[in-house]
Order: sequence, then C-alpha cells, then structure tokens
Amino acid sequence: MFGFQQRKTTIQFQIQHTAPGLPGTSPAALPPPSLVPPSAPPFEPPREPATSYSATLVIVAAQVDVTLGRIEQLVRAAGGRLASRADATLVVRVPRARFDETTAAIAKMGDLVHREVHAEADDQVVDIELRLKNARGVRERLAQLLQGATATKDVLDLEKEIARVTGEIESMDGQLRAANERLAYSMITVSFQPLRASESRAAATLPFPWLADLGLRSLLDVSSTSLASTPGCTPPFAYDAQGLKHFKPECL
Amino acid sequence: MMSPLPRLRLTLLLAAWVFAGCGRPFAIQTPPGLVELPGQTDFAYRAMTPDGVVLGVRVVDAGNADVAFWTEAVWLHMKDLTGYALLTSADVSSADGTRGKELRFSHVDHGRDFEYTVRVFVQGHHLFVVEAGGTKEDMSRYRAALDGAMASLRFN
Repeated sequence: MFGFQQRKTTIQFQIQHTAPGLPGTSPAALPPPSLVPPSAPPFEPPREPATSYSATLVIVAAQVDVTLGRIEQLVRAAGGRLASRADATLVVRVPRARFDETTAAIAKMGDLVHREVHAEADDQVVDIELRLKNARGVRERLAQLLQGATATKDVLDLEKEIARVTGEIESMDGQLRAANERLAYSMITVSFQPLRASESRAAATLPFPWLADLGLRSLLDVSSTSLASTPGCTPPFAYDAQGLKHFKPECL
Repeated sequence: MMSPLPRLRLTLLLAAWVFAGCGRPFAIQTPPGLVELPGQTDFAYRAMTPDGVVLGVRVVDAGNADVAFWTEAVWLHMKDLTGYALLTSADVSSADGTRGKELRFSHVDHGRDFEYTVRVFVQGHHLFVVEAGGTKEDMSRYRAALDGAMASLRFN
C-alpha cells in the first residue's frame, strides 16, 4: 500500500513538470478513471503552412573585404547574425520582418549582377504541432488510465509508456523550436565578384592608334620591312633547345 | 689639300647623315651593332641587332599637349597591358637640348624577361616616341649603344 501511494505521488509530479499547461494535478482535480474514451476534440480549421524566405545575391565590388564587413554590421543592426563566411561568400540570417529591407540594402553595396529570392511553404511547423498535440493527448489519456490501474504489471507498463511518450514530446518540442527559429529568420547568401582593374578606369581612352601600338609586340615585329617579308622571319630569330637565340640565316 | 680618299670618306659620311634624316623631322645615329631597317610604315626609323634588340622612333601629331601629358598617356597605356612593370622614370634631353621623359619597363613573356624603354619628346607640333626593347640580357649588352643612339637624337 505504501508503495502504491508512493507511485501515485511520482506520477503527479511528472505531470506538473513536463506539461505546465495541463489543469491542476491535485488528486481531487483528476477526473475519475473511466473506460469510456474521451470525446473527440472540437473541430479546428487547418492552419496555413508558414513561408520561409531566402535570397541569393551576386555583387561586383571594388573592395570585397570592406563590403563584407559593412554587410555584417548591417545584419547585426537588423537583429540578425552571421551564419558562415568563406573567401568572397557570406551567409547571414536576419529576422523575417527585416528580410526585404536588408536584402535591398545589401544589393546597393555594389553592382548587383544576380538576385534570387525564394519563398517556400514550410509545413513542418504545422506537422510538428499536430503530432505534439496528439502526443500530449495520448500522455494525458495514459495518465488517466494509470490512475485507475490496480495490477502492478499494468502500473509498470503504463509508467513505461508515459515515459516513452514524454520523451517523444520533449524531442518534438525541440524540433518545433528549431523550425520556428528557422521561419523567424530568413537566409541571405551574398557572393562577390571582384572589380577588375580595367573596369575601374574611365570608360573613355585616348583615341590614338599609335598609343595602342606601343609595347614590345609591335616594336619587335619587323614584318613591315623587306627583311621580314620572307616567311618565318617574324621575328627573324629563334631559340634553340638550350634557350640560346640564333638569327635565322634566311632572314638576312 | 685633302687627299681624295679622306675627302671621299667625308662625303660619304655627310651623305649618310643627310639621307638618314631625309624626309624626317629628326636625325639619329644608328649605333654600332645595329642596322637600320628600310621600308618602315608605323615607325619613322627602326634599327635592330642580330640578336633582336630593336630601336624605333615614331613621329606623331602632339596636338597642343606637352611632354607631361604624353608621358602620362604612355604610362597609363603600359600600365593596362599585361606583364609590364615600371622600373624607372627619368628626365632626359636630346642632343639639341630638347627636354623629354624616359620610362623604363620590365616585361615577362612566356617566362622570359624583357626590357622596354620609351622616351617622349615634344618639338613644335611633333611628338617623338623613341622605343627600345629586347630580352633583358640583350638589352644589357647593348645598353650603352642604345643610350648613345637616343642621346644623338636631334630635331629639325
């Protein structure tokens, strides 16, 4: 008798600890055990799946490191955080409410060459919530059955099953928190293409053909002379296997 | 009175000097070891060694721009070309005292080191661009001859 009373106290404690939302757990508050299954829960309209957002931007910038730093500052100011950073690619997560403005601000930090935005229906949260609700209902039912159990074997089996369901509920709680956090934050991936030196110059260049002709290529190309009119005389020298230069006799 | 042989030699020398500058607004002495190349189109003068070191002079319209302007134009152009690095920049003068600017570049092509020198002079409405180039070792060997030729430059 003492042992049975002890087990009843234990069950009451578990209910209080893991399911704070349940009604009062004093023995007087628990409904009397019954073999009649509980009535069906009231109808609830199906919930719309939540939407997760992500964006991919490719930007051309003159100073990639400086721009990466500016983006990190912008993201932190928006309540977001850095997810990963490698070479010229940055992945950040920002609160969903700040997704649009943050994406627009990042796009203005250089020349935007590519932009993708994805909106995906994420029904994982709805799915987990439903399973969680069902699991809690099962645990409540098991607790009620335990109240009416008399045989030691039944008590042990019910306690074991309640512990298993409680473990599942805790696992799903964790999944739900992770899914909610994923939905609460949107991911932005930013990749950089460095600005090449030739692109940073002014668009106009001096329109003098001779200027464009400067350099060794033109100077050493003597094909405009009668010497080099002989095929193979441009240039009129060649290098042997040892790297030594020899003037071609046919070019003299 | 001068003997016939030295007189003939002097005449030939003068003729060579005249014909070397004939039709050109400048005169330059082809240094020892180089031969002047005939039939030039893009260059007013070009000479080369058997090893492939080339000395050339271009004459173009300077417009109303000065040496500083054209020196920067040349430098900007060379800076954009792949593989050219500016080694030195120096003030130079022609034989008749015309001030100019020299830019000396190194260049790597297919693993080989080259040197390329550009001198810029403005005389009246003419811009004179004097170029010399070749492999680094050949340029070193002909450096004195090339510098002498460039220093002999006179403008008409």
